[in-house]
Amino acid sequence: MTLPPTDNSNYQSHQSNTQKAEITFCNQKFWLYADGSCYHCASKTLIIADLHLEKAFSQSSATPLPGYDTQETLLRLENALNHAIIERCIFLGDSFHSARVAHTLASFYKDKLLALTQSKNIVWVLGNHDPSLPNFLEGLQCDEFYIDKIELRHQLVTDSTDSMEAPLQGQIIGHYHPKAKLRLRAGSVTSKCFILDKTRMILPAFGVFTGGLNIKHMAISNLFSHAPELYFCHKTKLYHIIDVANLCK
Amino acid sequence: MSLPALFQEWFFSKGWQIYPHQLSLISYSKKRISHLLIAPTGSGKTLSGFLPSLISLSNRQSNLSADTKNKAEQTKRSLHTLYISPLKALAVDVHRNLQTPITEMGLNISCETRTGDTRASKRNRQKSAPPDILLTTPESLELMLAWPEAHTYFINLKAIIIDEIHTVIGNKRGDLLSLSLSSLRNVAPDATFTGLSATVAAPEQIANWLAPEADKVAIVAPKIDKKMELEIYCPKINKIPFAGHSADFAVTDIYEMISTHKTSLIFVNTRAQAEILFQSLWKENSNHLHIGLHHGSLDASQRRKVEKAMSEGSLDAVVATSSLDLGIDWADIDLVIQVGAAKGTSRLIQRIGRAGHQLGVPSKAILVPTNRFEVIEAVAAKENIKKGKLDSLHEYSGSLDVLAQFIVGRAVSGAFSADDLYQQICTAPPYRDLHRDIFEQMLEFVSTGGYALEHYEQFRRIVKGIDGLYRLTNRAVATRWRMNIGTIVETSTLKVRFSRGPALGEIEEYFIQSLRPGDSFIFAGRVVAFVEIQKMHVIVQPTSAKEPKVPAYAGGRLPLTADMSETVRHILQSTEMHDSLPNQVKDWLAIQKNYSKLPDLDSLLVETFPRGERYYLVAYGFEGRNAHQTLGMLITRRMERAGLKPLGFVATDYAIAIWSLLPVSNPAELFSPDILGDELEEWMAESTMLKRSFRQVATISGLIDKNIPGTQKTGKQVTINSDLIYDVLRKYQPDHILLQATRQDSARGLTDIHRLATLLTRFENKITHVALSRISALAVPLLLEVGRESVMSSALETMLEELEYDLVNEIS
Repeated sequence: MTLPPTDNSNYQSHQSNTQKAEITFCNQKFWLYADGSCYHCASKTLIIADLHLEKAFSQSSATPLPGYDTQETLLRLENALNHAIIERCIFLGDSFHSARVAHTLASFYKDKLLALTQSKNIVWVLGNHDPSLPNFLEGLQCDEFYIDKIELRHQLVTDSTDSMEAPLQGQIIGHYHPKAKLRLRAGSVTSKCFILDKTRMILPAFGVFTGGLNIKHMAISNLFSHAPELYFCHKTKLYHIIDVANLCK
Repeated sequence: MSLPALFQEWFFSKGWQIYPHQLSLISYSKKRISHLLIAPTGSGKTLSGFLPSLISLSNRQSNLSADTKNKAEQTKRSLHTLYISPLKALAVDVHRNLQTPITEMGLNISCETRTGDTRASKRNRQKSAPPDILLTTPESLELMLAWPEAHTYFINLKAIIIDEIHTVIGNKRGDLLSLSLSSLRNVAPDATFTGLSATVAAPEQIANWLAPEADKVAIVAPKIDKKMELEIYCPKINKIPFAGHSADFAVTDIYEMISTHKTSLIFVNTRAQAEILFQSLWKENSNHLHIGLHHGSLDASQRRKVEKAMSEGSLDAVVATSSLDLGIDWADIDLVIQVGAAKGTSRLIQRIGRAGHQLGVPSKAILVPTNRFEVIEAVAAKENIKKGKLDSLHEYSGSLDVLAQFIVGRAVSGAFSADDLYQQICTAPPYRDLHRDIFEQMLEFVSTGGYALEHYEQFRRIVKGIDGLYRLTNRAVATRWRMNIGTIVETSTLKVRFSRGPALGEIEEYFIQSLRPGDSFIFAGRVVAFVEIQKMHVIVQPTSAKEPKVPAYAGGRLPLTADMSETVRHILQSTEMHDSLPNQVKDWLAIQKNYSKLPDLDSLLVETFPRGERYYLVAYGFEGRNAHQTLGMLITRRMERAGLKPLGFVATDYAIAIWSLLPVSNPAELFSPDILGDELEEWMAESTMLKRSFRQVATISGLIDKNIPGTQKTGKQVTINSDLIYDVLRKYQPDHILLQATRQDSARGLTDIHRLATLLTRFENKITHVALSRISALAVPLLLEVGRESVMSSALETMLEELEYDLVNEIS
C-alpha cells in the first residue's frame, strides 16, 4: 500500500488556512471557501447555508448524539467570519435543526452566537427546519433576500414546477447539502461541494453534523439544465471539477 | 442408567447402540446438573443433547394419558426445552432431523423453530401457545426476553441446549448470548444447561463460559477415535506458486479427485476463491459432473437448493466457504478438499469431519496449499492434528457496546433496579470482572448519551422512580431497539440480479462502487457485467466474456491462529522436518538457509536488502495479517520520523515487507516494544481502522441505526456519518465510554494489538538482523504480493494530491 502523508489536518479545521476560489456568477465576483461559505465581494456579504445548530439534541428516540456539534460549528463560523472584511452575514436557512432547539438554546451558545454576529448586518433566511426563529436573534428574518438581482432563498418554492427551470436572474440556495463522490485511480473520496451552472448555485451545508446528498441524485441533478461544475471541499482545500460526468459517481 | 423401553426399541429398530456419552447426558439431566458435551462431528451430538428432553416429555405424555385425559391441561403447554443455534440454517436442519425420532416413536411432542425468518402470525401463536421444544437463535432469544411476559413464558423451562457453543465464545455474539443466558437464569430457575461443542483445546474454558460456577458443569468428553486420512497435495508437473491464492495450477488434479470420489466437499477461504475455483472446475468438466457452489453472499434460496441437492446425493461436488462449516449432516461425503490453508487447526478438523460423517468411517481429506508458505502451513496443520494440539481461546472480557444494547433491552422488558442488573450482568462469565463504575457509565450512556454537557438532562430515556427502579420514558426507544438488535454489523450489501429475474445473491456495496458500467466480474458462478444500480439492486447482465475484467472481491479472510504460527516456526527451524516437504519447497528453504537464515522459535528474523531504487526490510513475525498490518503502520511512522523515507509496505500472515528510499541500519530500534505507547495512541487517533471499529461500536450500542437493507436515503433524509461523531467526541470528550469501547475492540480484530504486543515483547532484544545484498528466497512471495493488495482508504490523500496534477485544474 502507499503511505498517507502524516499530517493531522482533521483537527485544524478552525485554523485560518481555508483555501478559497474566485468565481464569477451572474456577472458578480464571489469567493468560495473550502469550509462551504461563500463571499459576495461587492457587498462584503458572507453567505452560509445549513448550520443545523443543535442537531444532536433533536433526536428523541435515539441515544442522544454528542452535542459538541454546536460548539464545533460555532468555532467554524468564528473562523469563517474572519475570512475577509464582512459587513453583512446571510444565513441561508436551516440555521437551527428545529425551531424548538432554537428557542431552548443553552445560554452559553446564545452568548457565543450573539458575540459572533454583533456589529454585523445579519439576515436569517428561514428554512424548512427553522420556519420561525426566536427574537433574541438580532437581524432580519425573511423567506428570500436579493443581492443585486440574485435571489437568495433556502430552497425552491415548493409545489411550483416552474421553479425547477433555470432562474432568470440567478439564484443561490442551500437545503440540499450537496456532496460528490470522486472516482480516483485508487478508490473514491466523498466530500461536500458547491454545485453551480450559469444561473443557479447550491451551497454545501456548513454545520458539522450534516450529512449530504449526492449531486447525482435526481433531486439535485434536475435543478441544472446546463452541465454544472463543482467546487469540491476536501478538508482545507478546494478542487474545481469541470468534468462532472466522468469524475463523479 | 437405562433407557425407557420405547427409546430402546427405537434405537434397536435403527440398528444403533446408544453411546455411553448419551447415557451420561441423560443421567446429568435427571440430576439437574448442567453439562457440556465435547465431541467431534458425526458422533450423534445433537441427538445426545435432545434425548433427555425427549425422554422427559414422553414421560409427561404417559402420565397424562394415565390421568383423566384432561384436555385443557394437555393443550395448555409451556415451553420445556429451548435450543439455541448460532446459525438459522442449523436450527432449521436440526428441526428436520428431530422429526425422525418424534414421528417414529409416535411421541406427542411439538417442536418449532423461531428465527428472523419466522412469519409474524406463527411468532404470535408461539407467544400464546408455546411448543414443547423451541429452536431459535441468540438474537431471537434476546427479543423474547424483552417481552413483559417473559417471566411467565420461561418459568417452566427445563432444558437449555446451546449448540456449536465453541463458535460464539470470545466474540460479540457470544457476549450478547451470555448476557441473555444470565436473564434466562433469572426467569427459568429450574432449567439445566447443555452445551454442545466441537473438540477444543481446553474444555474448561467452555464450561467457564456456560455457567458462572464452572465447577458445577459436568464435562462429558468421550474418547472418540475418529480416523482421519489426511494427505497434502503436491503437483506432479506444475510448480507450486510463490504467492497468491489461486488454485489454477491444481485444477486438473482437483477435478481428477472429485471424479474418483462419490461426493466431494471443496472448502476455500474466501467467496472470491469459491467463485473462481467453481468457474475453473466447470471449464475442466468434460465428464459433466454436477458441481455446486455455496457461500454466504449467495441468495438464501440458491443456498437451500444446493443444500437440498447435496443431501439427496444428486451432486458430485460443492465448492464452499465457511458457510458450510457448521452442523448440517450429509453422511455421504467421502472426500473433503481444503484449498488454501485453513488458518487454524480446530477449523480444519471441523471441515475434515464433514467427510465420513458417521462414526467408524474414516474422514478422508486432501489439503491443497496454493502457495509455498501454505505448504508449510499444511504440514503444520497435519502435525497439530496428529499431536492433538488444538487452537486455544485467549482470555477475553465482554464488549462494552453489547452491554449497552443489553441494558436497553432490560429497560424494554420492564422496570429494573441498577443493583440487581449489575449483579446479574456479573453472572455472565465474560462480564464477571465488570467494574461498577463502567456499568454506571454505560447506564448513563443508555439514558442520556453520557456526555459531559449539562443540558442533556432533558433527554433522559431511562429515569429512576421514587421506588428506586429505572423505567423507560419513551416507547419509541423499544421499537428502535428491536429494529437494531444483534451484533453483526454488516457492511452495506446490495442484491444482485438480472434486469428480469430473481436475485442471485448479495454483494458488498464497496465492491460495486469500484466498478464502471460494463465491467465484468464473477458472481454466483458466472461472469456477469455490471449495468447499473437501481434502488437497492445491482443490475447485471450476462456477458460473453470468459475472463472477468475485475478479478473479484476479498472477504472472509481470517488470520493465522497463534498456535498454528508456533508450529510453522517450529517446522521452519527443524531442518529434519523439511524432508517431509515437497521438493520444490524443500529446495526453496535450502536456498534461504544457505543465503540468509531460517526463522526460528527464539528470535525475530529481520532481513534488509536493496532492490531497484529502494531499500527493503522484511520481518518474519508469523502473527497473522491483522497484527502485521498494524505493525507495518507503526514501523513506517517510526521510519518517517527517523527520516528514512518509507514508501509503502505489505503485510501477510507470515511477514511484513517495508520499502524506503534510505536503508535501515539498526532494525532492533524500530521493533522495540515502546512503540505500543504514545505512538500507538497517535496512530489510533488518525487510523481509518479505528473509525471503522467506532462505527461498529456506535451501531451495536445504539448510537446510530443499522443500515437496514431495502431502505434508501431519500432527498430529505440526512444521516450523520459516524466518522463525524468520532472526530467530535475525540476532540471534546476523549474518555467517553464509547471511545473506551473502541479502544477495547482494537486490541483484537482488525488491529489485533493483543498479538502484536505478544510478538514485540517476546522478541525484545532478540532481533536477528541479516543484511543482504539482494532479495532472499523467503522474501520473494512477499514482494509478489506488492501491488496485489488494494490501496487502503488512508492512501486517498495521496491520490487526491495526484488528482491535483492529473485530473483537475488546481486553484491557486
